[in-house]
Amino acid sequence: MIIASRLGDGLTVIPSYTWATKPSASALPAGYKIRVTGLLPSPLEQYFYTDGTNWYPDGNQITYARSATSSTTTGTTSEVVLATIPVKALVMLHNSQCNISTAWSSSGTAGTRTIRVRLGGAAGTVICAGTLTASALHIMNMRLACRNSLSSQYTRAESFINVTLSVVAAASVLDMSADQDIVITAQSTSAADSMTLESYLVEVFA
Amino acid sequence: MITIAAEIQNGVFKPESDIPSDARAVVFNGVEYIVYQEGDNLPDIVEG
Repeated sequence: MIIASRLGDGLTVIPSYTWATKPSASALPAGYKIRVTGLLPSPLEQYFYTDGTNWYPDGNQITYARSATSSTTTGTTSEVVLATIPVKALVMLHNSQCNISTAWSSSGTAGTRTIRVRLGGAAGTVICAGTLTASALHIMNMRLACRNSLSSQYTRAESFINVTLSVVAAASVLDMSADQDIVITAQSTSAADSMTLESYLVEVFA
Repeated sequence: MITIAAEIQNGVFKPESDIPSDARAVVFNGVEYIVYQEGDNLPDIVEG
C-alpha cells in the first residue's frame, strides 16, 4: 500500500510496510521515511526514518502498547501471565529506553502478592518484581534501558499509591536484535486472593 | 464471553492463544482464561 501526500510544491510518497517486511535501514538514504502498520495496537500506526543504519520512530518515541482491559488472576497460587507485549526485533536500539507503567488492584487475604515483569517471555528474566501483603490499589512503574548495547539492559522501578511495594529490579542480557516479549505476571500465596492488572502503558524512546 | 485454555511455561500459566483485542476484561480462574467482550456482564471482581 502506498500513501501519497502533497507537501509544499512536490509530491512525497511514503511507502507502507509491516515491521517484518520493511526494507533494510542501510539500503536507503538517511532521512528516508516509511509508514509501519501492525506494529502498534490498532488503530495506532507509526512512521520511521533511517539514519542509514537503523530505523528510528518519527518523533523519536512511540506509544508502543497500552491497554485498560482489566486482567485478573484468582483461584491459584501459581504465577500467571496477565499481559504480553511483543517487542519486535530492533524496536529497541543500543541506547533506547522503555517506560513501563502498570496499575493494579487486589483483594482477599493478607498473604503475600508478587508482581513480576519479565523480559523474554514467561520463562524470561525477571527485570522487576514487587511484593505487598495487603489488598490495595497501586501503581508500579519501571524504566528498562539498553546500556549502549543490544544485549545488555538494566531496569529501575518505583511504586506508589496507598501502599509501598517492595520493589527489586534487575539487569538483563537479552538480545534486542531478536523479538523479545515483555510479560506482566501476578502471583499470590493464597488462592482466595485476586490480583488485577487494571491497565498498562509501554513507551519506547529512541 | 469466550474461554482460552492455559498452558504452563517454566511454571507460569499463560494463554495458549492471543487475547482478543476487543476484550473488556479477562479473568484467569486457576484453570483457564475467561474473556469478557462487549455485551457481556462483567464479573463482580472487575471494577467499573
